[in-house]
Formats: sequence, structure tokens, C-alpha cells
Amino acid sequence: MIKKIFNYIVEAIKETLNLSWTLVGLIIACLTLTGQAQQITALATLITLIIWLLTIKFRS
Amino acid sequence: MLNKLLSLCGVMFLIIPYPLALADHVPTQTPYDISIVCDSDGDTTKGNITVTWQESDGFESSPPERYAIAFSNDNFVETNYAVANSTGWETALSYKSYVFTASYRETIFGTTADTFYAKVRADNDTDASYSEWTGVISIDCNYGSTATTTSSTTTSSTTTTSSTTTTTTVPPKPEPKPEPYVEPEPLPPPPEEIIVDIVVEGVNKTYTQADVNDGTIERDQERIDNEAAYGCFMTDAQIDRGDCIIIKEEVIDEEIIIEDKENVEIVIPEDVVEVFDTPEEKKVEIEILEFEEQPIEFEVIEFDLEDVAPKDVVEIPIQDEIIEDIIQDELDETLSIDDKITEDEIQVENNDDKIIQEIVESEEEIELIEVEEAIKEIVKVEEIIELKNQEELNTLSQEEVVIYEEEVKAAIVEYVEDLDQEDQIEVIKEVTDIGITNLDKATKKTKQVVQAVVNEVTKVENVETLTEEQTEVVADILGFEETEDVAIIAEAASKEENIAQAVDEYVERASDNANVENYNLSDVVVEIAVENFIADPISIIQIDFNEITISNISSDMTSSQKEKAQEVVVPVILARIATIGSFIMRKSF
Repeated sequence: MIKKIFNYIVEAIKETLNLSWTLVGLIIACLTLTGQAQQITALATLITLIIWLLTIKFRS
Repeated sequence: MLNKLLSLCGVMFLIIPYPLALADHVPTQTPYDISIVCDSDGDTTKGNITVTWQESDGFESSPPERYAIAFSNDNFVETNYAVANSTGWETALSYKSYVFTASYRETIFGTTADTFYAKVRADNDTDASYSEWTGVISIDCNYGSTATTTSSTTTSSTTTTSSTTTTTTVPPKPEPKPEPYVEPEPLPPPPEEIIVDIVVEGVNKTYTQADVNDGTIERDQERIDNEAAYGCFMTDAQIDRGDCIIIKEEVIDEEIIIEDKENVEIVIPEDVVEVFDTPEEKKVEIEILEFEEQPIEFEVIEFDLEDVAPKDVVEIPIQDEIIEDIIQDELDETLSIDDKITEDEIQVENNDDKIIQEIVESEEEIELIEVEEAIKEIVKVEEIIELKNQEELNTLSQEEVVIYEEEVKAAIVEYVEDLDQEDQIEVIKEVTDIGITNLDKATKKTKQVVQAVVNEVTKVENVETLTEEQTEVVADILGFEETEDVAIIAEAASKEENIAQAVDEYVERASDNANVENYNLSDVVVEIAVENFIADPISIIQIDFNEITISNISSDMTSSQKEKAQEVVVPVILARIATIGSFIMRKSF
């Protein structure tokens, strides 16, 4: 079980690294935005990233 | 016998037409049936002599273009005159005539009492074909006298000097048939009608006085000479014009003497030169001048420099080297001049730029001083707190200085809060005139005053009381193009710490970024957001879900902020799309 969790964490880091440039863009967007737009962008980015990482096995 | 007779008849039958056949085949037939008549009856034509001849049958390759009528008063022994009619062959076997008036004969011969001799020849100048002269006919035709006898002289066709003359008395010849071409001879006849018996060797042609006058003889002679010299039957003018290809020879001055051999049948007396050219030997001098560019010859002088040049002259460069050196020197000089001019121009431009920059800076400083003075007139901080000069500040410790600055700042904020809104706007106007970024050289107190005014006018309660004009002034100092952004930023500043901090630090940051173009409050907001994100990344996801309204998602953003986000987000999205596209392409191949 621990090994599976460890493997998943490694895989999630790899996927996140693959999304590095996308995340940079989204972070910059959040920093340039203000108000609700900033919050929504940040929330959407976070939610999407979480979904992306949770569906690694499903997408592969 | 019968056979022989028939044979002879056949031969005769064949022989008889032979001369006729030959006659038909001569180029130009001799005129037939020449006759002469003297008019003794007419009132106005009395004494006229009419010479009549019959045209050929037309079987000739060069029909007559004119007829030459030679006449004399001594049977062409010493006198030889000639005229030509104006019409040539027209109708076969028709008659043509020419009239010699009594006055004309008197003009020529001095009298009409002499016997008049005449003969006719057919001429074709185009083909240079001339028939034989007809036999000489004569008549006595004194004024008013009637012709008593008509003499017919038969001469050989080759010479007039060895002729056998047979004079017979014949009955008067009947009048010739009516001739439509007989016209009265004008008095005196034009000299060009006179035929001259000048023969140019090589040219089978009889010349008239007109040929003499217009130079035909000379031209024919030129043709003969040029044919002999260059193989071109052309005149000198044609040769000069280049019609004949001539292998040039070194002929600078060539004198050609053309001698016309005498071939005159009758010697012409000297007293009638004006009518007839004497057949004297003619000399035609023709100069052919060819202008050719003479080659320039350079004299080659060889000498030994060691023998000629003194010892102190070490080397004499050859001509090419001298030219190259001169060109190189001129080029270097030109380039150096150009470089110098360019450097001078750059120097002048630099100096001009420096001068302009100094002038602008000095003007800005003057304006800044004026603004500071104006602000001092409005915000009189001295009334609240005692300001210390630099010497007094130097005596204070660092902590005391910090405390002093905070006291001054608080005093300024307090003073600004108590100011009328018009005075606040007046301060902003003063700053707007020179630009907020130009406060970089202003005093710290001035910046603090301006910042306190900006904070005061961007409060929500104060924004609501601003007039339209005052709102424009506030929007101008914040770098907004839309006046609505003032209210938005005031509302956002009251809710978001980043924006409130951005407004609070706006004047200081704007003065620090004086070199940044179009620096405005949105830039300050981004700077603050980045600084806070770096300081606390989790702060970016501090989301208040109660404030999120999907239908009004960007209403709390200023137009300037939207543009700023658009400038950043769109390129990032496009870059991401390009990355995905390249990844797919890599996988497919």
C-alpha cells in the first residue's frame, strides 16, 4: 500500500512537472488578475490540477 | 532545174527578210525617211525649215527617248550644231518633225542664205543606246525664197570624213503627212537642247549642252575613273558617301586628271562659244581627301636613372604606382574627411542631444520646483509639525530619524485629510501637469504629500463625492483611461490587501519607475501580487466563495488591469497550445 502511494506520488510529481509551463502561465494569469477573476482562475487551476493528478491511471 | 529554182527561191525567201530581222533586233533603230522642207509661203512661218523623219516600226529593245537633230551650214565640215526634240518614240512609223525658223538660223549662222544641212539620230539615254545618224539632207531656204532643190547626202554609218557624196536633183519632195507633235520652236532655243559631241571614253553616249551644264559629263567621267580605280561605277559623291566598299590606301591628296579625248566630228568656230562648247580638251580635277585618324606615336626614351638622377633621389615610382598612390591618398583624404565630418556630425548631434536633454531636465526641475512650491502653498505641514532641516537631522540618531519621519508622515496624512477636496484635487492637478513619474527628484515630503492625497481621493466615500472633472484628474494621475476605473479601484482597494497596498505605495513606486513607459496603478498591483505570492504562495488561493459571482466575474477589474492580464494570459495559452501540438506531431512520427 505504501509502495502504491509512493508510486502514485512519484507519478503525480512527474505529471505536474509535465505541466510546468502550463502552471507557470496560469500562475502569471492569477498574479495579473485581480478580484474575482484572480480567485476564479486560481480556483479553476487548482481544481483542474487535482483532477488531472487523480485521473492519471484512468487516462493512461 | 525546177528543183534548183525552187531552192533559190527558198534561199532568197530566207535571205531577204534577214536584214529586216537584223534591223528589228538593233537596240535603237535609225529614223526612217528623213526629209526637209522650207516654208516660203506663210506670213509668220516664211523661211522656216522643217526636218521630218519617220519613227521606227517599234521592233527594238531601246526605243528612242528623244531624237537628236544635227544641223550645219557647211555640211558638217566646220560647223556642227544639234538640237533635240522633247518627245521620243510614240507611234510606229509615224512622222515627227522639227522646225528651224529663219531667225534662229540667222542667229546661229548669221545668215539664212547658206544651205541648211541636217541629220537625225534616235537616242535612248536610259540604256545608253544610240542609233546611227541618218543621211544628211540639205535645203536652201533664204528669207522668202522657196526651196529649189533638196539634196540628199548618203554617208557611211561609221565616219563622216570619208563619205562619198552623190548629188542628184530630185523633184520636190511632197509635203509630209500631218504630224501632231510639231510645235513652233521658241526663239532662241534653249542651249540645253544643243547636242555636243563630247565623248567620254568608256561611255557610249551623246551629250547635250544640258549634260554639260548640269555636270553629267563630269559625273560619267567620274564613274569611269572610279570603276577603273575601285571597281565601282559610281560618282565621287557616291564614293564619298560610302556606297562603294574601298580598301583604303594611304592616299592623302590624289590628283586625277581626266582627259577627254577629242572626238568631234565638226570643228566649232570660236565665235559661237556661248551656244556650243568648244570640243577642247577638258581637264577635270578631282580631289579625294580621306581623313583618317593618324595614330599617335609616342617616342620611347630609355635612360638609366642612375646616370640621370642625383644620389639623393632614391626611387622613382613608375606611373601606375604614382597614380595608385595619388588615388589612395585622395581616397584616404576623402575618407578621413568623411570620417571627420561624420564624427563631427555625431559629436554635434551628441552635443545637441545633451543640450536638449539638459534643457529638458532643467525645465523639468524648474517645473518640479514650481510644483513643490505650489504644493507647499496648499499643504502647510509646518503648521502641524516643526520640520527640521538636514543639519538638525544629522544630529539625530537613526531611530529618532525614523520616528521623526513617521511623525511627519502622520502629520501630512492628517493635514491632507483635513484639506478640502478641491485642494486635494489641486495638488493632484499640479502633479499631473509634470507627470507622477517625474516626482523621482522631488523631496520625500512632497512625495508623502502626494501619496496622502492619492490615498484620500481613492477612498470609496471620497470618490463618490468627486465631480466628473475631478474624477478625470484622479484617473489621470493613476494612469487610467476610464474614469469608472477610479471607483472600481477604490472599491477593490477596500476589499483586497494587494490593491490597497498598491494604492498606498503607488507614488513611491511610480517615481522609482520613472523610465517605464505608461506605468500605472495596474503595474503596481501586479508587482505587489508577485511579491506577496513569492512571500506567501498559499495566499493566491485564499478564495472567498461568497464574493464570487459568475455573471459578474470581471466587474471588479479595472480596464487597465484587464488589458494587463490579457497581455500576459493570451501568449501563455498560445504557447501551451503550440507545445501540445508539437508533442502530438512528435508522437505521430
